[in-house]
Amino acid sequence: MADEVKKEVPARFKVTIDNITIEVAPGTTILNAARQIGGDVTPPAMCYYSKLQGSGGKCRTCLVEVEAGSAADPRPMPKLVASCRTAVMDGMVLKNITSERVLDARAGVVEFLLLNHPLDCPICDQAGECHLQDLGYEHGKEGTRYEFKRRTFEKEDIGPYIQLHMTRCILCYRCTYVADQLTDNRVHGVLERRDHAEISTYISKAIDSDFSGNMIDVCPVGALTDKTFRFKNRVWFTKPVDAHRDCENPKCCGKVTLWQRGDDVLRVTARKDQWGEVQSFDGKPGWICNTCRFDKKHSNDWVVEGPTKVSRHSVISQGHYIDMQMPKEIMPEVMGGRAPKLLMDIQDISEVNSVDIGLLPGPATSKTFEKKEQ
Amino acid sequence: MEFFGKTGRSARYLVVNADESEPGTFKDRYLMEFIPHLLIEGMITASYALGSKCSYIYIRGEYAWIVDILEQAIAEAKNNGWLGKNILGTGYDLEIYVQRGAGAYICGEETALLESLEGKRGNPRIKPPFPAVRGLWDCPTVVNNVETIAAVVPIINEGGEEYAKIGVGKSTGTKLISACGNIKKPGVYEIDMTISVEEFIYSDEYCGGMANGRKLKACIPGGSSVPILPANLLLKTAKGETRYMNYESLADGGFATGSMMGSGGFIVIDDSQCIVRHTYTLARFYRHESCGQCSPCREGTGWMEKILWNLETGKGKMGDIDLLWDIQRKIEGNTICPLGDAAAWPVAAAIRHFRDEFEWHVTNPDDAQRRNYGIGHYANPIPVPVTA
Amino acid sequence: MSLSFSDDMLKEVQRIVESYPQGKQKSALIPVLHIAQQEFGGWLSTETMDYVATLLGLKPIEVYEVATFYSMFNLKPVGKYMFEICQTGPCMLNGSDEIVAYIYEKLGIKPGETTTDGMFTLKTVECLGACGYAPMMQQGKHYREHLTKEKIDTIVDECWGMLYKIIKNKIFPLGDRGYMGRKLLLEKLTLKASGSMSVPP
Ligand SMILES: Cc1cc2nc3c(=O)[nH]c(=O)nc-3n(C[C@H](O)[C@H](O)[C@H](O)COP(=O)(O)O)c2cc1C
Ligand code: SF4
Ligand code: SF4
Ligand code: FES
Ligand code: FES
Repeated sequence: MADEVKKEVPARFKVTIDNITIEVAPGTTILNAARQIGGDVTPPAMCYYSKLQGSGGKCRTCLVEVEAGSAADPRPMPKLVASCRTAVMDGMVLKNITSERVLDARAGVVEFLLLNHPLDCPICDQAGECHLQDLGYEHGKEGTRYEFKRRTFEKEDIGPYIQLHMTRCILCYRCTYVADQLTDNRVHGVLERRDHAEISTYISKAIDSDFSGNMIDVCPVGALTDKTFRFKNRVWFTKPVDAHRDCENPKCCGKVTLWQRGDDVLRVTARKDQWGEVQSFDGKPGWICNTCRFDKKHSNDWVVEGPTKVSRHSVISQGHYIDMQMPKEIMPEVMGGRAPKLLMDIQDISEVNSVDIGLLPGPATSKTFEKKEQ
Repeated sequence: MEFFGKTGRSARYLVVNADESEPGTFKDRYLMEFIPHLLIEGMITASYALGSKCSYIYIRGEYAWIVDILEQAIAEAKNNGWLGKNILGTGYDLEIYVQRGAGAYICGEETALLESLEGKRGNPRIKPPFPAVRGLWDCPTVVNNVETIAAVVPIINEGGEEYAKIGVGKSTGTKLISACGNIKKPGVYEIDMTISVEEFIYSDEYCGGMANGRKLKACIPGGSSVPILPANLLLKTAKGETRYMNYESLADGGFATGSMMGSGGFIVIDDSQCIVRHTYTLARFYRHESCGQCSPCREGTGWMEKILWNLETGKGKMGDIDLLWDIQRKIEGNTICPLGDAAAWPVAAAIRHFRDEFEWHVTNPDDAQRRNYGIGHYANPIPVPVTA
Repeated sequence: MSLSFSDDMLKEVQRIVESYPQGKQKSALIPVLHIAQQEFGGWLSTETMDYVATLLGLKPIEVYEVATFYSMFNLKPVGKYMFEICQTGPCMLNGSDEIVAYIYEKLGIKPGETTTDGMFTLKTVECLGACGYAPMMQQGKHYREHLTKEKIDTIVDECWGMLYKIIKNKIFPLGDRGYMGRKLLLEKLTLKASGSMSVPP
């Protein structure tokens, strides 16, 4: 049986995307083929997540034009297709950034996605690592033509770990797939329909199953953010380092990125690959458990491997320490070997900074820094 | 899995789509309400051909009383040995069940219908795979309209060739037209697709002419999703030929000067009606019925509704008309299911053919609140630019 | 759980579940929600939905997702009688706007509102597949078509009549004999039913 199939289907399919030809395994989606080429040829994907079954097809940012359906049937397809959910055919010819139609449609999708988006980036914890920011920057047009009040939702508390900002959600459904596929009890979902559709638990139930924290990592926008990191820092001021620990949970990979400020661990996330998805280790997605994510906020908990490589185009890279030449310390020289008093490590004497904000359960507020009465 | 163990991997299903919700269409209701046996008989035949042992009728939730009618008809068929185990001694078993929806136009889309039948939200699936490959509970499934299945009976009885002799060209057989709007005799008419649109509207046998002695202004010939046509383009094609009530003739001229047969919902609009308001109600409909899965449809339908409301209530700007055009263009073809197109087409066609009425709403906002634009030039066959 | 179906209803649920292959009882969700809505006061409370979830072995969120998707399920309490008026194109062409306005004039309720006595709820809906009989509305299980102001009057009276009958059967299950107090109540309702006591706007 297996032999028969081989005879009919070539082992590798040839596809051409934006005039670059590549051979991929049958069954590969157009998007994944484009990712193998990499660079600008890869369509942006806001809802597809290779590690989540059934994801994709919803946001429509990954639309591409099919110039020739296959070698056997080289007719073009009348409609743009969602590259994340369309499998390649042998001899397929596709246009992504070389197609005016695609760029136009994509700009439209970006406008639609931003239509009701609050654009509250200045107070959004996702800013700096938000896929919607990147998408808008790379594929959008300037300004919006929307003149109406933006949609709002009733605020909902979904527990101590995850902060939900429904106004920012783009309804990619990724978090529902995480709840379905990684946890055994989904308590949140998509309610209502049309432009009233929302992510909610309906009864303000706490989402607290073991792997629920991964919803934060898959959320492309700031709709789901880490409550224990809330308002503590901007990501580009933090220093990401790769670290690991032996996690007792067999399903947790234990390999993480620590987002530090000084020695404080402000946030723990799974490690991300170049597409912004959770990295795979030995072919398995590196999901992490909630204990690693929310309860291990001390550098002692972790074995640090070294600074995380951050792509240069990311705003996060600007606070970065890799290959950076530190200026020579000349102070001691000038002062005859004595360390300057004023420039001493303030942390040692400051009352304020005696608070280890990495260990706070929630956002740091002025209350946090109030002097405790002895 | 128990399920596969029980019925075998080759389970197949026939599902009849009775979720009739396209504005302007009410023919399936007529068939089910008054001649349910025709549907049941058609289903038995089609199920047999398909090898389906279990077939479902998915009916829109609002048709609550029709469920009873159908269930009674099924019980009657069962009592007479036409349904159940070993039908007429052939060894063929078939059960027919009626499933009620709960108010969602999108569940008429075949994959959304299957999702709904599986007890989920009516979110259309991403195709491929098509239902014929992976449909209900992942089994091969055929989804057909009530009218299609009911037509099986005359086709079997008379033979395919004989049946195909009715009609003209590719439009063979008969078609049910649900006529509504400002006509004297709204209702469901069975036509053989050889009559002209003019005859259909004005003859006493069919619509009986315009109600209240008004003049014909426009018409949507195939359910609210298809492009609206002004009177001049409705009765005659752009080439000046008579337009007939069949698939080819109604589509003559493409979207620029033609329309579509669609679901056969024939909505006639007279000169006392406002196209802007009418388009607004349709935009509101599609916004209300969007499943909210894909961004162009979810966001775009709401946006269009709001702009149209502004235009209708005299708060619109000239630029809004072009903006509407651009929005509909960006929805069309870029969505998961054709509801996006269905929402875009009526708006596009209204702007294409009635742009001056939209502009009048902008330039005379106060007037527009008090009276209607009236018939404009649409009743007079004037040359129509084939652009836009 | 305090809430539960009567035995007859459970039998009906059983019948519905049996119309699907084994293990596919999720398909019964929509029909069962219809029954639950009818049984438990015309709307679906969280409690009701949780009950349906246990009944069918589903996660509560699966029920919430479905119940909020479909427009026929009410997630807030509604009046005893609901007027669902179609507003879409063909009905609008035939004057559905005037019907909505007339109901406001008569009952003092706008779309989405319920009369203060909890009797009537007005809801605007999209095309119900009766465009040829426009303007129309759904009232309970049935459609009321070719609406006019007079017809609305009749329907409102009919609803009062129906309520009257229900209450009468409850108070006098064996016929018209009873205490004076009950009789008074009945008279009051009769008055209302005959329309001589106007409904406060
Ligand atoms: C948004 C949308 C709504 C639809 N609604 C209906 C409907 O109400 N009734 C129907 O029979 N088909 C409807 N369809 C068409 C079905 O998807 C499908 O094509 C049809 O059931 C096939 O039946 P037929 O081949 O017998 O016509 C709809 C399609 C779309 C995209
Ligand atoms: S909350 Fe985030 S992950 Fe979930 S649907 Fe919205 S955008 Fe997607
Ligand atoms: S086009 Fe509209 S109805 Fe269809 S899948 Fe997308 S959002 Fe849903
Ligand atoms: S990534 Fe393909 S549609 Fe969203
Ligand atoms: S438009 Fe009112 S029933 Fe169709």
